[in-house]
Amino acid sequence: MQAWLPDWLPALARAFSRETQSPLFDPWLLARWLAQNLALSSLILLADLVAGSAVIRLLERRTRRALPAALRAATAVALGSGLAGLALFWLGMAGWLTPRAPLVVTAGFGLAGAAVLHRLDGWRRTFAFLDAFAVPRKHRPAALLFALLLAVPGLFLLADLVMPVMEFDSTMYHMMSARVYRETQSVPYQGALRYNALPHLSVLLLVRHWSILGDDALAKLVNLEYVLMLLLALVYAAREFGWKAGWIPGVLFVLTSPLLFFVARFEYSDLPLAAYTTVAGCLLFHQVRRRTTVGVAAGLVLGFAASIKLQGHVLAACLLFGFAAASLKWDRPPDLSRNFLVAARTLVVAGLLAALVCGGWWLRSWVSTGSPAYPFFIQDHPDAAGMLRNDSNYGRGHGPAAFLLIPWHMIVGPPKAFADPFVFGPAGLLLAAAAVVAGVRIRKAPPPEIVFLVSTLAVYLLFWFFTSQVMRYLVSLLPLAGVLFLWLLARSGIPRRVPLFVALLLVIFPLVNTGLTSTVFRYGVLPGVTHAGKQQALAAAEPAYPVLRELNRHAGGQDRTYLLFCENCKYHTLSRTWGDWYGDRSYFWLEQGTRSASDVVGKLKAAGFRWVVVNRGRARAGASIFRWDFSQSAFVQPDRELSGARTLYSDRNFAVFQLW
Amino acid sequence: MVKNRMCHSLKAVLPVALMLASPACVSERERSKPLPAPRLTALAPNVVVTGQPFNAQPDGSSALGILGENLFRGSKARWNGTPLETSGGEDHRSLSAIVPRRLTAAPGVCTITVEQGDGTLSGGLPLTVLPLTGPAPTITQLYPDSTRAGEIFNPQPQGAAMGVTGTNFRPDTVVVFGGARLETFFSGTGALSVLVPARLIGRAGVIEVFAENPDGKRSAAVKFRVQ
Repeated sequence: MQAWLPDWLPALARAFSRETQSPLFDPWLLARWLAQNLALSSLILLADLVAGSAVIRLLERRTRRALPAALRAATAVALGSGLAGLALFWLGMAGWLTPRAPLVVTAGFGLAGAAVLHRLDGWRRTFAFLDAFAVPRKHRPAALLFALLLAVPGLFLLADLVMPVMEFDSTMYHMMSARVYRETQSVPYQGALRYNALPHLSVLLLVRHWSILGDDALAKLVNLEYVLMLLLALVYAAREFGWKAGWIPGVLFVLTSPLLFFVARFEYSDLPLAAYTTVAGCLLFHQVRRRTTVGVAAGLVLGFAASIKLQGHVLAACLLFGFAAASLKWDRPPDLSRNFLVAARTLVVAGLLAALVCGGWWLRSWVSTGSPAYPFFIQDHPDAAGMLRNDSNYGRGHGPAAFLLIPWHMIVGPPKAFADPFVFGPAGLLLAAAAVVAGVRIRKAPPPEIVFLVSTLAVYLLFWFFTSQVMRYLVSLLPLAGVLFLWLLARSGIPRRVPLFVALLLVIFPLVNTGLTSTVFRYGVLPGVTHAGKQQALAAAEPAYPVLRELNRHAGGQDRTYLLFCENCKYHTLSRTWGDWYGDRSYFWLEQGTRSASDVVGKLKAAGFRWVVVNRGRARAGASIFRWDFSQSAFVQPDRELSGARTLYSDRNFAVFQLW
Repeated sequence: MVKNRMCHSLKAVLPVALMLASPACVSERERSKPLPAPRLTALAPNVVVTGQPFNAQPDGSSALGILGENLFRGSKARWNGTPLETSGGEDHRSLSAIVPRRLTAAPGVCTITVEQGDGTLSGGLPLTVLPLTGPAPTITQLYPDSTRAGEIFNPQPQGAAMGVTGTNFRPDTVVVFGGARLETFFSGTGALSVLVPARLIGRAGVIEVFAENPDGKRSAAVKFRVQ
């Protein structure tokens, strides 16, 4: 339970409060900066909504029934942003990812969408979702109170989203890839960048925001689009279950998870993955429930989900599996064969479209690495085994007891796994409790759409558990679990005011989770609006940054720099960098054939490296991969000299060596 | 109705466009504003001895306190240009820098500067690294140089506080007061302060006071009168 109210929280609160007294903090400037960039982001969002809505309008001409307003809007944003990302990918493949390309693509898609909507009478449906947020006069005070309570997490989220790039994975590959793509105006494969061969559509959407808003620190504002998609999906579900205010417990259920807060404020690909997965899931859910045909839209959105990372492939497969399982429940005898054909056609169309959307990424990987899903399908590749050893069972085993205790383990005890510092939260327990209540109340068999949700969640959970994936990967299905949660509440037979009131008590979770995961709170640093303030924020939050500035003063742009146990330093290093547990010139490569620090220096010199940066704390922890006494060398010990190298910088935590 | 919706979306876009074109927009000029310049006022200590750790850390390095204004987190102290591991800055007035032993291996005067997070440098303050041995200390004046028997001057919890000025004092210099070695605080090569226990000034008389450096060299004795 320590993770829920850790002892560092009050100390951080004091540090944060002190920071607001700093002469560097100008609240008026920050407010103007935020408002200005929110306005620009909203224009991008509007372009996505209009473009996506136009696609839906074109598809609606072939179908009998229109999608519900909220699901339609969520799908429109997903289609608009996904198609923009896809266009940027192909432009990058052609070498045309110029600084203006993202703006041209976004504006072009938006204007084309507007023209289609104007011609096909689609404006009304595009903005019909806004009606879902209209509050009756008698409920306005409660709505205002609810909005005020969520305003605190919302403000912190905004501040976190405009912080400089400092998150570990992002500096290692997400934003680093974005930097490479902007510099080269293409999407080249970089073996030294972790997972760079794999699909990462979300990185191109980061490039888009970065290019249009003109600052790398603003790229993360794209996350607001994903948050909106998730919100609209829950609004759709609530209305579908005939419970207009039901989206409130749905949203609060999702917000009980600190991990969701964690992925929502960093540049991780997990939030876009959750957003596209949720929209695709809701489309398939709607088809199963209402018998409408949404195969094309679902296929495209599934393709976008699969284009974000390999985990997206698994999620897309699980959703299609769930859909196939649910279609077996369409068992009304006169329509049996027709239903089977409809389901089969949807599966084929969605699967083919998803593959088509993802095909470019597979082709890129195949041409660059010889495998469409590098490092898989390459015999005995060490990285493939490493990617399936993420230690997600948290030392609790893979047995049935460990599996059944997952909901409990989601709450107690932070996992030891690297890059997965936060517990999942009580959502699993809440879902289980709601299922028990509904199970007692509901006597008859679940409808097909619930079979779809349950089988999707179950098959993914089993895959996640037995392949040792990290806890973070469960977040992708949390919003769909929220839909299931809402259905269970709606069908439990309990008067709706009761779950609504109980759910409002969950408001405490967004507040606590904000404190647990907020970047500005955690580092006691406020976003820098000025260029100098941005550097100051980086220097204050990231101890490596002043060290890298030292390196950047001396290293040329074409120099080769090896980052030893500090692969997250890539983004802020101006020279060309290598060094990681995975990929080209990995730490394992460095270890092979070396028996002393001098051997390491010789090997790096022979490979053309001129500079070495080492994080001594992490080097000490990772020293066991070297079969010689690495921990006694200058790579770890600050008072030692490195034979054959000049020490440019050395302290107890970091060192920079010049090899020649 | 359709036109109505379209008008609504245009109405939404218009304020955004107006806002982005308005003076409330943060300009590039505003964004280029530098951080307030750092200013150093004192080092603690500002005199150290060759090879001898000060504010010693477990690994044998030393901790240097830096006081001033506009000293923010993420700032980096520099010793003659060499960057030091630096922490602090939460109060915007003080930093702490780790000085490796190798930097104090030879005597001399070095300059301490601070580099701000955005790369701007402060002015420098000198830090003296004294050789292991040096000339004998001298005392030029005691403050006060007399008192009445039993009267505590500059009262402190442990006794009376006395100032000593002179030359060639060192961080470990000890003041000897009537044969008793007093608790001595080094303020610089020209100034010390000591705590005189009440029992040493309880009776009238003339007390000899001298300073002794760690290398054993002593100053000539000066007289402190108790009336």
